[in-house]
Amino acid sequence: MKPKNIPVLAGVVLLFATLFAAETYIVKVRTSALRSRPKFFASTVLNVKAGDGLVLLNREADWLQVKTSGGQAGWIHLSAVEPRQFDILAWGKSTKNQATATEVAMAAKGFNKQVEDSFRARNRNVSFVWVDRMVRMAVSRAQLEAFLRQGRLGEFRGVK
Amino acid sequence: MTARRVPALVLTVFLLSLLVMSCSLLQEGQKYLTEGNIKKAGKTAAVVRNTFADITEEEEYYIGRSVAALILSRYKVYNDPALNSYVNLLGNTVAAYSDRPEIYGGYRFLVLNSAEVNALAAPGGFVFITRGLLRQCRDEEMLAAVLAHEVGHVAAKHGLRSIKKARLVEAFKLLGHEVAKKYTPQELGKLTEVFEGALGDIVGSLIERGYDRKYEYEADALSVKFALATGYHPGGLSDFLKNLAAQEGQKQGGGWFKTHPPAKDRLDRVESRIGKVRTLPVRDSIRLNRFKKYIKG
Repeated sequence: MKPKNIPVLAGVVLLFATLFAAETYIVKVRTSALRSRPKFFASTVLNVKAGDGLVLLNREADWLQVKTSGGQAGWIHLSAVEPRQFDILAWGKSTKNQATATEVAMAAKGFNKQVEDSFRARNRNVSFVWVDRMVRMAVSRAQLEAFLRQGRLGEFRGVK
Repeated sequence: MTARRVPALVLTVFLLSLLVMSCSLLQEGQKYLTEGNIKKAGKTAAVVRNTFADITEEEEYYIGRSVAALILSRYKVYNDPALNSYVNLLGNTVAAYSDRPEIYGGYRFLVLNSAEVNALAAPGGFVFITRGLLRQCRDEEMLAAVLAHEVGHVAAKHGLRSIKKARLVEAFKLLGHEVAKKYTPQELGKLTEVFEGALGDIVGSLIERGYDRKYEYEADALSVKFALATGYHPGGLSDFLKNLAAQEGQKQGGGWFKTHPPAKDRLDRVESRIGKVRTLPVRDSIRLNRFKKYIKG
Protein backbone atom coordinates (compact mmCIF):
# COMPACT_ATOMS: atom_id res chain seq x y z
CA MET A 1 0.00 0.00 0.00
CA LYS A 2 1.33 3.43 -0.91
CA PRO A 3 2.03 5.75 2.04
CA LYS A 4 -0.27 8.41 0.56
CA ASN A 5 -3.21 6.01 1.01
CA ILE A 6 -2.69 5.71 4.75
CA PRO A 7 -4.52 8.95 5.77
CA VAL A 8 -7.48 7.96 3.59
CA LEU A 9 -7.53 4.53 5.16
CA ALA A 10 -7.35 5.99 8.67
CA GLY A 11 -10.21 8.35 7.85
CA VAL A 12 -12.43 5.55 6.60
CA VAL A 13 -11.64 3.40 9.67
CA LEU A 14 -12.53 6.29 11.98
CA LEU A 15 -15.79 6.80 10.11
CA PHE A 16 -16.70 3.12 10.52
CA ALA A 17 -15.70 3.23 14.15
CA THR A 18 -17.92 6.27 14.73
CA LEU A 19 -20.87 4.44 13.26
CA PHE A 20 -20.25 1.31 15.34
CA ALA A 21 -19.59 3.08 18.63
CA ALA A 22 -22.77 5.19 18.29
CA GLU A 23 -24.77 2.05 19.02
CA THR A 24 -24.16 2.21 22.77
CA TYR A 25 -26.20 4.15 25.34
CA ILE A 26 -25.90 5.36 28.94
CA VAL A 27 -28.86 5.54 31.36
CA LYS A 28 -29.29 9.23 32.28
CA VAL A 29 -32.24 9.12 34.69
CA ARG A 30 -31.91 8.08 38.34
CA THR A 31 -33.71 4.77 37.82
CA SER A 32 -35.60 3.13 34.99
CA ALA A 33 -36.54 -0.35 33.85
CA LEU A 34 -35.96 -2.61 30.89
CA ARG A 35 -39.39 -3.81 29.81
CA SER A 36 -40.47 -6.98 28.06
CA ARG A 37 -42.20 -5.03 25.26
CA PRO A 38 -41.94 -1.44 23.93
CA LYS A 39 -44.80 -0.27 26.19
CA PHE A 40 -44.85 1.48 29.56
CA PHE A 41 -47.06 -1.04 31.21
CA ALA A 42 -45.20 -4.10 29.94
CA SER A 43 -43.58 -6.25 32.63
CA THR A 44 -40.15 -5.29 33.99
CA VAL A 45 -37.20 -7.43 32.94
CA LEU A 46 -34.59 -5.58 34.99
CA ASN A 47 -34.19 -2.28 36.83
CA VAL A 48 -31.36 -0.02 35.64
CA LYS A 49 -29.81 3.12 37.12
CA ALA A 50 -27.96 6.27 36.03
CA GLY A 51 -24.62 5.45 34.43
CA ASP A 52 -25.44 1.88 33.36
CA GLY A 53 -24.25 1.07 29.84
CA LEU A 54 -26.56 -0.56 27.28
CA VAL A 55 -25.94 -1.92 23.80
CA LEU A 56 -28.56 -1.23 21.14
CA LEU A 57 -30.17 -4.26 19.52
CA ASN A 58 -33.21 -2.80 17.81
CA ARG A 59 -35.39 0.31 17.63
CA GLU A 60 -39.14 0.79 17.39
CA ALA A 61 -40.33 4.44 17.29
CA ASP A 62 -39.17 5.99 20.62
CA TRP A 63 -38.31 2.64 22.20
CA LEU A 64 -34.91 0.97 22.10
CA GLN A 65 -34.34 -2.74 22.53
CA VAL A 66 -31.05 -3.01 24.42
CA LYS A 67 -28.76 -5.50 26.12
CA THR A 68 -27.01 -5.05 29.47
CA SER A 69 -23.43 -6.07 30.27
CA GLY A 70 -24.98 -9.17 31.88
CA GLY A 71 -26.62 -10.09 28.59
CA GLN A 72 -30.20 -9.32 29.64
CA ALA A 73 -32.30 -7.74 26.91
CA GLY A 74 -35.33 -5.48 27.17
CA TRP A 75 -36.95 -2.27 25.96
CA ILE A 76 -36.27 1.22 27.31
CA HIS A 77 -37.71 4.60 26.30
CA LEU A 78 -35.38 6.90 24.39
CA SER A 79 -35.87 9.68 26.98
CA ALA A 80 -34.14 7.56 29.67
CA VAL A 81 -30.84 7.20 27.81
CA GLU A 82 -28.29 9.14 25.83
CA PRO A 83 -26.05 7.85 23.07
CA ARG A 84 -22.40 7.35 23.84
CA GLN A 85 -20.67 8.61 20.77
CA PHE A 86 -17.17 8.21 19.58
CA ASP A 87 -15.81 11.68 18.86
CA ILE A 88 -13.11 12.14 16.26
CA LEU A 89 -12.36 15.62 17.61
CA ALA A 90 -11.43 14.17 20.99
CA TRP A 91 -8.98 11.74 19.37
CA GLY A 92 -6.35 14.38 18.77
CA LYS A 93 -6.59 15.52 22.39
CA SER A 94 -5.36 12.16 23.67
CA THR A 95 -8.79 11.45 25.06
CA LYS A 96 -9.97 8.69 22.83
CA ASN A 97 -13.55 8.55 24.01
CA GLN A 98 -15.67 11.65 24.23
CA ALA A 99 -17.65 11.68 27.44
CA THR A 100 -21.41 12.10 27.56
CA ALA A 101 -22.82 14.98 29.60
CA THR A 102 -24.06 12.47 32.19
CA GLU A 103 -20.59 11.00 32.56
CA VAL A 104 -19.16 14.48 33.03
CA ALA A 105 -21.63 15.25 35.79
CA MET A 106 -21.09 11.84 37.37
CA ALA A 107 -17.39 12.64 37.42
CA ALA A 108 -18.50 14.71 40.44
CA LYS A 109 -18.66 18.20 38.94
CA GLY A 110 -22.00 19.75 38.24
CA PHE A 111 -24.99 21.47 39.83
CA ASN A 112 -25.43 18.86 42.54
CA LYS A 113 -26.46 18.44 46.15
CA GLN A 114 -23.35 20.26 47.35
CA VAL A 115 -24.35 23.32 45.29
CA GLU A 116 -27.95 23.09 46.54
CA ASP A 117 -26.68 22.93 50.15
CA SER A 118 -24.57 26.01 49.52
CA PHE A 119 -27.57 27.84 48.00
CA ARG A 120 -29.69 26.87 51.03
CA ALA A 121 -27.03 28.11 53.44
CA ARG A 122 -27.02 31.49 51.68
CA ASN A 123 -30.84 31.69 51.40
CA ARG A 124 -32.18 30.45 54.73
CA ASN A 125 -35.57 32.10 54.08
CA VAL A 126 -36.18 29.70 51.17
CA SER A 127 -37.81 26.53 52.48
CA PHE A 128 -37.37 23.12 50.84
CA VAL A 129 -39.88 21.36 53.12
CA TRP A 130 -42.61 21.14 50.46
CA VAL A 131 -40.09 20.37 47.72
CA ASP A 132 -39.03 17.29 49.70
CA ARG A 133 -42.70 16.41 50.28
CA MET A 134 -43.31 16.67 46.53
CA VAL A 135 -40.42 14.28 45.92
CA ARG A 136 -42.12 11.79 48.25
CA MET A 137 -45.41 12.06 46.29
CA ALA A 138 -44.17 9.44 43.83
CA VAL A 139 -46.83 7.65 41.79
CA SER A 140 -46.18 3.92 41.43
CA ARG A 141 -46.58 2.16 38.12
CA ALA A 142 -49.42 0.05 39.64
CA GLN A 143 -51.30 3.21 40.75
CA LEU A 144 -50.87 4.77 37.33
CA GLU A 145 -52.02 1.62 35.56
CA ALA A 146 -55.16 1.48 37.76
CA PHE A 147 -55.89 5.16 36.98
CA LEU A 148 -55.49 4.57 33.23
CA ARG A 149 -57.65 1.43 33.32
CA GLN A 150 -60.39 3.24 35.24
CA GLY A 151 -60.34 6.18 32.81
CA ARG A 152 -60.04 3.93 29.73
CA LEU A 153 -56.92 5.75 28.64
CA GLY A 154 -53.61 4.95 26.95
CA GLU A 155 -53.11 1.25 26.38
CA PHE A 156 -56.46 0.56 28.06
CA ARG A 157 -58.63 2.57 25.65
CA GLY A 158 -61.86 0.83 24.84
CA VAL A 159 -61.36 -1.71 27.65
CA LYS A 160 -64.54 -1.97 29.72
CA MET B 1 -4.03 3.33 -6.90
CA THR B 2 -4.31 0.48 -9.45
CA ALA B 3 -7.63 -1.30 -9.89
CA ARG B 4 -6.28 -4.59 -8.54
CA ARG B 5 -5.33 -2.96 -5.24
CA VAL B 6 -8.87 -1.73 -4.51
CA PRO B 7 -10.16 -5.08 -3.15
CA ALA B 8 -7.10 -5.32 -0.88
CA LEU B 9 -7.75 -1.81 0.46
CA VAL B 10 -11.45 -2.56 1.06
CA LEU B 11 -10.53 -5.78 2.89
CA THR B 12 -7.99 -3.92 5.03
CA VAL B 13 -10.54 -1.24 5.93
CA PHE B 14 -13.09 -3.91 6.82
CA LEU B 15 -10.66 -5.85 9.04
CA LEU B 16 -9.46 -2.72 10.81
CA SER B 17 -13.06 -1.63 11.37
CA LEU B 18 -13.84 -5.02 12.89
CA LEU B 19 -10.85 -4.59 15.19
CA VAL B 20 -12.06 -1.16 16.33
CA MET B 21 -15.61 -2.49 16.70
CA SER B 22 -14.42 -5.42 18.82
CA CYS B 23 -12.59 -2.97 21.11
CA SER B 24 -15.81 -1.00 21.37
CA LEU B 25 -17.83 -4.12 22.18
CA LEU B 26 -15.31 -5.24 24.75
CA GLN B 27 -15.78 -1.93 26.45
CA GLU B 28 -19.55 -2.32 26.32
CA GLY B 29 -19.20 -5.45 28.41
CA GLN B 30 -18.00 -3.32 31.32
CA LYS B 31 -19.44 -0.56 33.40
CA TYR B 32 -18.76 2.74 31.69
CA LEU B 33 -18.04 4.72 34.81
CA THR B 34 -14.71 3.18 35.60
CA GLU B 35 -12.04 5.30 37.25
CA GLY B 36 -10.40 5.75 33.84
CA ASN B 37 -13.59 6.87 32.14
CA ILE B 38 -14.38 9.30 34.92
CA LYS B 39 -10.96 10.90 34.47
CA LYS B 40 -11.56 11.12 30.72
CA ALA B 41 -14.97 12.61 31.37
CA GLY B 42 -13.44 15.31 33.50
CA LYS B 43 -10.77 16.10 30.94
CA THR B 44 -13.25 16.45 28.10
CA ALA B 45 -15.89 18.31 30.08
CA ALA B 46 -14.96 21.72 28.76
CA VAL B 47 -15.15 20.43 25.20
CA VAL B 48 -18.48 18.69 25.69
CA ARG B 49 -20.67 21.30 27.33
CA ASN B 50 -21.76 24.48 25.63
CA THR B 51 -25.53 25.03 25.71
CA PHE B 52 -28.63 24.42 27.85
CA ALA B 53 -28.94 21.04 26.10
CA ASP B 54 -25.73 19.96 27.83
CA ILE B 55 -27.20 20.43 31.30
CA THR B 56 -27.54 16.88 32.60
CA GLU B 57 -30.73 15.31 33.92
CA GLU B 58 -29.31 15.36 37.45
CA GLU B 59 -28.33 19.03 37.20
CA GLU B 60 -31.76 19.86 35.81
CA TYR B 61 -33.26 18.08 38.82
CA TYR B 62 -31.21 20.17 41.28
CA ILE B 63 -31.97 23.40 39.39
CA GLY B 64 -35.67 22.40 39.41
CA ARG B 65 -35.71 21.74 43.16
CA SER B 66 -34.42 25.24 43.90
CA VAL B 67 -36.77 26.87 41.35
CA ALA B 68 -39.64 24.96 43.02
CA ALA B 69 -38.51 26.22 46.45
CA LEU B 70 -38.47 29.81 45.14
CA ILE B 71 -41.98 29.39 43.66
CA LEU B 72 -43.16 28.01 47.02
CA SER B 73 -41.71 31.05 48.78
CA ARG B 74 -44.27 33.14 46.84
CA TYR B 75 -47.30 30.83 46.94
CA LYS B 76 -48.90 28.79 49.72
CA VAL B 77 -49.57 25.08 49.22
CA TYR B 78 -53.15 23.75 49.20
CA ASN B 79 -52.64 20.83 51.53
CA ASP B 80 -55.38 18.45 50.38
CA PRO B 81 -53.77 14.97 50.04
CA ALA B 82 -56.66 13.46 48.01
CA LEU B 83 -56.69 16.36 45.52
CA ASN B 84 -52.90 16.40 45.22
CA SER B 85 -52.90 12.64 44.68
CA TYR B 86 -55.50 12.99 41.88
CA VAL B 87 -53.54 15.81 40.20
CA ASN B 88 -50.34 13.72 40.46
CA LEU B 89 -52.02 10.71 38.85
CA LEU B 90 -53.49 12.82 36.07
CA GLY B 91 -50.23 14.70 35.45
CA ASN B 92 -48.20 11.50 35.40
CA THR B 93 -50.72 9.97 33.00
CA VAL B 94 -50.15 12.65 30.34
CA ALA B 95 -46.41 12.66 31.09
CA ALA B 96 -46.26 8.90 30.39
CA TYR B 97 -47.52 9.58 26.84
CA SER B 98 -45.39 12.69 26.31
CA ASP B 99 -42.17 13.02 24.34
CA ARG B 100 -40.24 12.89 27.61
CA PRO B 101 -41.86 10.31 29.88
CA GLU B 102 -38.62 9.50 31.69
CA ILE B 103 -37.04 12.26 33.71
CA TYR B 104 -34.34 12.08 36.39
CA GLY B 105 -36.56 12.21 39.49
CA GLY B 106 -40.00 11.73 37.87
CA TYR B 107 -42.80 14.29 37.48
CA ARG B 108 -44.45 15.82 40.58
CA PHE B 109 -47.56 18.03 40.73
CA LEU B 110 -48.79 20.25 43.56
CA VAL B 111 -51.86 22.47 44.04
CA LEU B 112 -51.23 26.04 45.22
CA ASN B 113 -53.71 27.84 47.45
CA SER B 114 -54.17 30.91 45.27
CA ALA B 115 -57.17 32.42 43.50
CA GLU B 116 -54.87 33.55 40.70
CA VAL B 117 -55.31 31.57 37.45
CA ASN B 118 -51.83 30.10 37.05
CA ALA B 119 -49.75 27.00 36.41
CA LEU B 120 -45.96 26.82 36.55
CA ALA B 121 -43.50 24.17 35.44
CA ALA B 122 -40.02 24.20 36.96
CA PRO B 123 -37.23 22.22 35.25
CA GLY B 124 -36.87 18.66 36.46
CA GLY B 125 -40.64 18.04 36.36
CA PHE B 126 -41.87 20.07 39.37
CA VAL B 127 -45.29 21.36 38.25
CA PHE B 128 -47.65 23.69 40.16
CA ILE B 129 -51.29 24.54 39.52
CA THR B 130 -53.40 27.06 41.44
CA ARG B 131 -56.88 26.52 42.83
CA GLY B 132 -57.91 29.51 40.72
CA LEU B 133 -56.97 27.57 37.59
CA LEU B 134 -58.63 24.37 38.84
CA ARG B 135 -61.88 26.35 39.16
CA GLN B 136 -61.69 27.14 35.44
CA CYS B 137 -61.77 23.41 34.57
CA ARG B 138 -65.13 21.69 34.11
CA ASP B 139 -63.90 18.19 33.29
CA GLU B 140 -60.85 15.93 33.29
CA GLU B 141 -60.09 16.70 29.62
CA MET B 142 -59.60 20.40 30.47
CA LEU B 143 -57.35 19.72 33.46
CA ALA B 144 -55.39 17.10 31.49
CA ALA B 145 -54.85 19.67 28.72
CA VAL B 146 -53.44 22.27 31.15
CA LEU B 147 -51.14 19.72 32.82
CA ALA B 148 -50.05 18.47 29.36
CA HIS B 149 -49.18 22.09 28.44
CA GLU B 150 -46.95 22.25 31.55
CA VAL B 151 -45.40 18.84 30.82
CA GLY B 152 -44.73 20.25 27.33
CA HIS B 153 -42.67 23.08 28.87
CA VAL B 154 -40.63 20.49 30.81
CA ALA B 155 -40.28 18.14 27.83
CA ALA B 156 -39.03 20.97 25.59
CA LYS B 157 -36.79 22.31 28.41
CA HIS B 158 -38.19 25.83 28.14
CA GLY B 159 -37.10 26.64 31.70
CA LEU B 160 -33.49 25.72 31.01
CA ARG B 161 -33.60 27.65 27.72
CA SER B 162 -34.32 30.83 29.69
CA ILE B 163 -30.92 30.69 31.43
CA LYS B 164 -28.73 33.36 29.88
CA LYS B 165 -26.08 32.02 27.51
CA ALA B 166 -23.25 33.96 29.18
CA ARG B 167 -24.22 32.45 32.54
CA LEU B 168 -24.09 28.93 31.13
CA VAL B 169 -20.70 29.56 29.58
CA GLU B 170 -19.44 30.79 32.96
CA ALA B 171 -20.95 27.79 34.75
CA PHE B 172 -19.45 25.23 32.38
CA LYS B 173 -16.11 26.97 32.63
CA LEU B 174 -16.21 26.63 36.42
CA LEU B 175 -17.46 23.06 36.25
CA GLY B 176 -15.35 21.71 33.47
CA HIS B 177 -11.68 21.85 34.17
CA GLU B 178 -10.75 19.26 36.69
CA VAL B 179 -12.10 16.22 38.44
CA ALA B 180 -12.61 16.46 42.18
CA LYS B 181 -15.05 14.80 44.49
CA LYS B 182 -15.77 18.04 46.33
CA TYR B 183 -15.56 21.69 45.40
CA THR B 184 -13.16 23.93 47.25
CA PRO B 185 -14.94 26.68 49.27
CA GLN B 186 -13.82 29.25 46.68
CA GLU B 187 -15.10 27.19 43.73
CA LEU B 188 -18.35 26.52 45.56
CA GLY B 189 -18.89 30.20 46.30
CA LYS B 190 -18.42 31.18 42.65
CA LEU B 191 -20.57 28.31 41.42
CA THR B 192 -23.39 29.11 43.85
CA GLU B 193 -23.45 32.69 42.55
CA VAL B 194 -23.84 31.39 38.99
CA PHE B 195 -26.48 28.91 40.20
CA GLU B 196 -28.45 31.74 41.86
CA GLY B 197 -28.22 33.73 38.64
CA ALA B 198 -29.61 30.80 36.63
CA LEU B 199 -32.48 30.38 39.12
CA GLY B 200 -33.24 34.09 38.78
CA ASP B 201 -33.37 33.78 34.98
CA ILE B 202 -35.85 30.89 35.21
CA VAL B 203 -38.08 32.27 37.98
CA GLY B 204 -38.17 35.63 36.17
CA SER B 205 -39.49 33.90 33.04
CA LEU B 206 -41.97 31.76 34.95
CA ILE B 207 -43.50 34.39 37.20
CA GLU B 208 -42.61 37.86 35.96
CA ARG B 209 -41.93 38.04 32.24
CA GLY B 210 -43.42 34.83 30.86
CA TYR B 211 -41.75 32.67 28.26
CA ASP B 212 -41.21 33.77 24.70
CA ARG B 213 -44.53 33.42 22.81
CA LYS B 214 -43.13 30.74 20.54
CA TYR B 215 -42.57 28.52 23.60
CA GLU B 216 -46.20 28.98 24.69
CA TYR B 217 -47.46 28.06 21.23
CA GLU B 218 -45.15 25.07 21.24
CA ALA B 219 -46.45 23.97 24.68
CA ASP B 220 -50.04 24.26 23.35
CA ALA B 221 -49.12 22.10 20.34
CA LEU B 222 -47.50 19.56 22.67
CA SER B 223 -50.60 19.60 24.90
CA VAL B 224 -52.76 18.60 21.91
CA LYS B 225 -50.23 15.93 20.93
CA PHE B 226 -49.89 14.43 24.43
CA ALA B 227 -53.66 14.54 25.08
CA LEU B 228 -54.30 12.61 21.86
CA ALA B 229 -51.56 10.09 22.65
CA THR B 230 -53.10 9.52 26.10
CA GLY B 231 -56.65 9.20 24.81
CA TYR B 232 -58.06 12.54 25.99
CA HIS B 233 -60.12 14.71 23.66
CA PRO B 234 -57.72 17.60 22.87
CA GLY B 235 -60.70 19.96 22.84
CA GLY B 236 -60.06 20.23 26.60
CA LEU B 237 -57.44 22.87 25.77
CA SER B 238 -59.73 24.86 23.46
CA ASP B 239 -62.50 24.74 26.12
CA PHE B 240 -60.05 26.11 28.66
CA LEU B 241 -58.79 28.84 26.33
CA LYS B 242 -62.37 29.88 25.51
CA ASN B 243 -62.91 30.40 29.26
CA LEU B 244 -59.77 32.52 29.50
CA ALA B 245 -60.62 34.50 26.35
CA ALA B 246 -64.03 35.39 27.79
CA GLN B 247 -62.37 36.78 30.93
CA GLU B 248 -59.41 38.55 29.38
CA GLY B 249 -61.26 41.82 28.93
CA GLN B 250 -62.61 41.75 32.49
CA LYS B 251 -59.75 40.35 34.57
CA GLN B 252 -56.48 42.17 34.99
CA GLY B 253 -53.51 41.11 36.99
CA GLY B 254 -51.11 38.24 37.28
CA GLY B 255 -50.90 34.57 36.48
CA TRP B 256 -51.55 33.29 33.00
CA PHE B 257 -53.18 36.58 31.95
CA LYS B 258 -49.86 38.33 32.50
CA THR B 259 -47.34 35.70 31.38
CA HIS B 260 -49.11 34.10 28.38
CA PRO B 261 -50.05 35.34 24.89
CA PRO B 262 -53.72 36.38 24.40
CA ALA B 263 -56.03 33.36 24.80
CA LYS B 264 -57.92 34.17 21.58
CA ASP B 265 -54.69 33.97 19.59
CA ARG B 266 -53.79 30.65 21.19
CA LEU B 267 -57.33 29.34 20.70
CA ASP B 268 -57.24 29.96 16.93
CA ARG B 269 -53.98 28.03 16.61
CA VAL B 270 -55.18 25.15 18.81
CA GLU B 271 -58.52 24.79 16.98
CA SER B 272 -56.74 24.79 13.65
CA ARG B 273 -54.46 22.00 14.90
CA ILE B 274 -57.35 19.93 16.28
CA GLY B 275 -59.29 20.43 13.03
CA LYS B 276 -56.61 18.42 11.22
CA VAL B 277 -57.03 15.35 13.47
CA ARG B 278 -58.96 12.62 11.66
CA THR B 279 -60.32 10.63 14.61
CA LEU B 280 -60.81 12.26 17.98
CA PRO B 281 -61.11 10.30 21.25
CA VAL B 282 -64.50 10.12 22.97
CA ARG B 283 -65.11 12.08 26.20
CA ASP B 284 -65.89 9.27 28.64
CA SER B 285 -68.37 10.03 31.45
CA ILE B 286 -66.35 7.84 33.83
CA ARG B 287 -63.58 10.47 33.72
CA LEU B 288 -66.03 13.30 34.28
CA ASN B 289 -67.38 11.53 37.36
CA ARG B 290 -64.01 11.03 38.99
CA PHE B 291 -63.07 14.65 38.18
CA LYS B 292 -66.21 15.85 40.04
CA LYS B 293 -65.30 13.64 42.98
CA TYR B 294 -62.00 15.48 43.53
CA ILE B 295 -62.67 18.97 42.20
CA LYS B 296 -65.50 20.38 44.25
CA GLY B 297 -66.33 23.91 43.27
